[in-house]
Amino acid sequence: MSEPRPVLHCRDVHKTFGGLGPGRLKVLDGISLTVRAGEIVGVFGPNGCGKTTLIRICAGLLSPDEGRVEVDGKDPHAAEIGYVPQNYRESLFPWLTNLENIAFPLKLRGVSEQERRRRVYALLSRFGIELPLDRYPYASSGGEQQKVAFLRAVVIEPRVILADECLAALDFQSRIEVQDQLLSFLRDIGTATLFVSHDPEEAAYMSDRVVVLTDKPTEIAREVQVGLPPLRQQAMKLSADMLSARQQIVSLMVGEVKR
Amino acid sequence: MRRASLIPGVLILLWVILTRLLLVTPLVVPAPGDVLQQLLVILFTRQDTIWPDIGVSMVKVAAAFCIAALGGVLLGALMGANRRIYQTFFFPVDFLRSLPATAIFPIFMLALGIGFNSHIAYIAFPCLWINTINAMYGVLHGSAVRREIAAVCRASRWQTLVYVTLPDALPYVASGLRLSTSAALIMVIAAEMLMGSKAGLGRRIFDAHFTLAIPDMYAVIILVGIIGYVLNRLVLSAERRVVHWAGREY
Repeated sequence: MSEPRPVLHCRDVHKTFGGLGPGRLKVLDGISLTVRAGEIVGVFGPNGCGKTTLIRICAGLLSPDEGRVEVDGKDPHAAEIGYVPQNYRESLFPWLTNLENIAFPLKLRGVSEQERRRRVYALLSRFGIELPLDRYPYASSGGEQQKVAFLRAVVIEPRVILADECLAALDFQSRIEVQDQLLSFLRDIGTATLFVSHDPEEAAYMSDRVVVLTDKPTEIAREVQVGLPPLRQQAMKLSADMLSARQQIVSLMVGEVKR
Repeated sequence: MRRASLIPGVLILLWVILTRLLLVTPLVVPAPGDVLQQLLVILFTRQDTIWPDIGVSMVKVAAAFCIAALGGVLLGALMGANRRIYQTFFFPVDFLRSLPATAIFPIFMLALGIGFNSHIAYIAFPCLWINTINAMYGVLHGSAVRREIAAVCRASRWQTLVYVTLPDALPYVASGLRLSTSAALIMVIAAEMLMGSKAGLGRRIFDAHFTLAIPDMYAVIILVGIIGYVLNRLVLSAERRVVHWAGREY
């Protein structure tokens, strides 16, 4: 069987903010990466290195100055993308119930209300997730809001999922719980996932390989392979493979990354 | 509840003492008993009944409220959503909302005649700008993140407007509507006093004052206070039900 072909393709992406004036800030300086179907690629880098900028370019919310992003060979605007922003709480629609939030992309596509409901229930039962569907986001816990934001991104079965530090706001217990649910979920639907994290352990645990970025102007320092099986358990965070991946990421961070 | 009724209780007691000891002339402050009796008379007897006046004033409030809501929310939403419209209309709106409606009531009377139409225009004028400004800020202050979610989901411009931008503006719009209810009540009383009127609550206060029917004047004033309070509570509870998420997003 041949390797699945790349779904997300960033080619030599450059981005500078602030025009030509003195406030000019070069953020991305030639980022190239690919993510294949079924693959989870972590993105890790120092604060302010442009992880969010990269994700936003991949989502089609920003245009690169140079280079291009393709999803399935198409422009991001024309592709099926699931996006979980950093501030996922704010991204939920407070006037909609959790169910209506998850079903929002279906509504835009003209799916009937009955069918929307059916599909959301099917999605939840498929992954054994329990959620107060008729409650509003503001009356739900942080972990529940996080799941709603994620389910909303995947309900259309997108070709690519872009998740931007989406677990950062959770407390430790909800976080490891959501990590495992998310992982089995992503493996099951087999989309290509770009997973930004500011935590080296989480980046390694959630990914097949981790792209480590340098400080601004940002390039790729290296890609670190994570030698773990696709499906994981929290105990594996103590395995030799995991520790080695973490060590590589951290040493890149304190070494060549900080220039 | 006990605490809440403390101050009104003290005030009424003070009122009784002042009038009993004849510390004030009944021409300025009538006895509470007289006012209460007059209140019951205008509410529950045919003689001097207040109900037609309540009806006239409330119809004007409702009509002006609706006109101002429709026009203001539409103009404000357009100004918030479109830079060009904003640039064209911001100065005129900012100027007109700073202009006291009372200063231009003669213009309304010259243009629309004496009576219902000029009253409606006078009442709706400040309400219109309140709604415009609130709807405009509602649209401007909507969440950029939520609009981005719509963009990534490939929502059309129309879908983004209807499903994201407008619901996001609703808490502001609702505040505007609540404020304009209070404003409309203030304006209707002023309209009926200033601009001439056959009936209405403002007319009743004016007439009572002119004929020195002081207990009647107090009775109508108290009634207007009660109507205003009830109206505010109603609008507030409707607001809480419709924009249930306001102030609890995070």
